[in-house]
Amino acid sequence: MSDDQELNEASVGLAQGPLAAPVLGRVVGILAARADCPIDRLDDALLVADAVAAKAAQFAEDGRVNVRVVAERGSVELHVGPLRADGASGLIASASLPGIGNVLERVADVLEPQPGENGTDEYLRIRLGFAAQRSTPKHPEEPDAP
Amino acid sequence: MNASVPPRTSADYASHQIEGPDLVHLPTWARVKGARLGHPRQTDGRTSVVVSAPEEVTATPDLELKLPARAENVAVVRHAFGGFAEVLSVDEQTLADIKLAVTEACTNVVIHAYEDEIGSLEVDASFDDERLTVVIRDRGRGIVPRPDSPGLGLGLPLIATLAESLELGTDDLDHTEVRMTFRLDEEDDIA
Repeated sequence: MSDDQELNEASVGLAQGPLAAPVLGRVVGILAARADCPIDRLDDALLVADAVAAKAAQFAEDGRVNVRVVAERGSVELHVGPLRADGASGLIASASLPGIGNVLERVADVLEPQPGENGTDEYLRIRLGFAAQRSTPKHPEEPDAP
Repeated sequence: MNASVPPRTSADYASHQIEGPDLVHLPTWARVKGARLGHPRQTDGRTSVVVSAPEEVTATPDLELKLPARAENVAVVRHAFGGFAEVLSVDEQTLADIKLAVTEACTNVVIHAYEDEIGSLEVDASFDDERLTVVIRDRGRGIVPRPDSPGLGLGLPLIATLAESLELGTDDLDHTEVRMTFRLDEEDDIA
């Protein structure tokens, strides 16, 4: 990600079903990678994307998976919604796995329900922070900067 | 609910009601595949009909994607379409054709749609057992001849070759649309 394009984002709307996980995972993955996300956090981001793709439609107002993905150097955020009232807490609770715990709570730095525009709907903001890595390794013959 | 506003889901259809003396000229959204018209009713000299859609019919595409129209995001769209391979039983060549055509259409938006500002690039995709329909949409200046074009002008002819059908036009809001359909059930012609 070049310095003059620090921020990139995509809005994704998906019908509930088998297409949601592969498409959302790919969008989140490529945007996170472009934001120089290290591999361990990239894996976390894909885990979050899979959890959202699997469960978000159950709590959505329109029965679809709607996510705005915002990537910038040092973080990737998923804004899930619009969700129906209490949908954000329902989505968080649905991400619990036996023996592992709650995937979203374990992986995300921020899990924040946010009010929607019409007062009854809401969004779930999921933020994953990371120390951005240099995306392209320096060539061995590249001289050090003076 | 305002009948001029298209419904987004099957549930929306249940509450849509068209009123007026002329039921022939239905809005576009009421003529989508699978939409059903209820029995017309006369009340106080006005005719009304409820428009409903079967449970399995969705007015919204299976995939909606909206991004800034920047070169790097063409790859995002292409990568997203790779996800279709995990869901659709489509051979590699067909998938490659789909991805190439979608890439060409998105590249056209990035290069030609907007002059100075970075506008939006919108992609819709819907599929059934037989076909995949992809719509690439922008809010730019439209498809117009461009003598100073930096490209070779091969994008649209290439898309027309790869796709089963290609339509250029505008949507209800006058946004530029490139609509492509691809057959998903083509038999392998190679013996």
